[in-house]
Amino acid sequence: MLRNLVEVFQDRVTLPIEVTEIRTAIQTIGFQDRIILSARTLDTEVLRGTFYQWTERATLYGEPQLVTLVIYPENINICWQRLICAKEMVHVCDQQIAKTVDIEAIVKLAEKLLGPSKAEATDVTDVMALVDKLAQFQALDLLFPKAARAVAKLKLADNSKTLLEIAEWAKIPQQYVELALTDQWETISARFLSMHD
Amino acid sequence: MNLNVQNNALRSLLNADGRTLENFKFFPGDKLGLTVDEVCSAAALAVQAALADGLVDTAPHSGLQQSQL
Repeated sequence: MLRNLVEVFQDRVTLPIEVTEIRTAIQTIGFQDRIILSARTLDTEVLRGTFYQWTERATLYGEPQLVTLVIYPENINICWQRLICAKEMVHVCDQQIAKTVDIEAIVKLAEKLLGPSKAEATDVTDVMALVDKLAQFQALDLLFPKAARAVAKLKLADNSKTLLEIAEWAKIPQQYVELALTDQWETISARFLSMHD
Repeated sequence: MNLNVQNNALRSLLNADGRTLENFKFFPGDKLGLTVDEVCSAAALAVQAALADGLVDTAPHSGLQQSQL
């Protein structure tokens, strides 16, 4: 699922990729009926974003519609807003094992995300927590795709562009640009993607 | 695992008004000592506000013209 989405953008060399383009791609591929991106003022020291997916029926016997609400903070800079929206939309591609379908699972996931990280993984919540953290990195493949990374590496190598200029071009936080332009990133990205196959 | 008031508020919200929960995730902040209750409470408030406003779409836009590097 995620691979199909990444492939939509992988050859793009014109940036920035708008968050709404990612949404359109998800809907075109057919993962989702409706995605609402809602800006709210959030205390970002507590919460930086939320992904809420549900099914509903417009009429009693109507077809169920799959709806996603992504809430992102309007009180942070646009680069972070975009990264958070993309990260949350990656969750549309969550496999069944990574989905939290009741409050008990949500609370357990929160405990894992907020608690001390441990070397051993002992239950399915560890998988959910891993998937959740990976979504941040997988969002990079959407906002700063492979072909664009290749162009950026060349420009960086011949000193015609700086990291700051590339971050401004991709409109994502500079530290994520730096990460995506490391020699190891292409291997890491491919491995992350294969985890979704 | 402690299911307290905040968590119960989130529970009743996520499966209300004909909605059946399929998946829920959040991106916690980086406050030192942040608790599950604080995150659940903030998430419940944010979702409640978005639903109360009628799920208005306010997608972010870069404001830039797409270009090559």
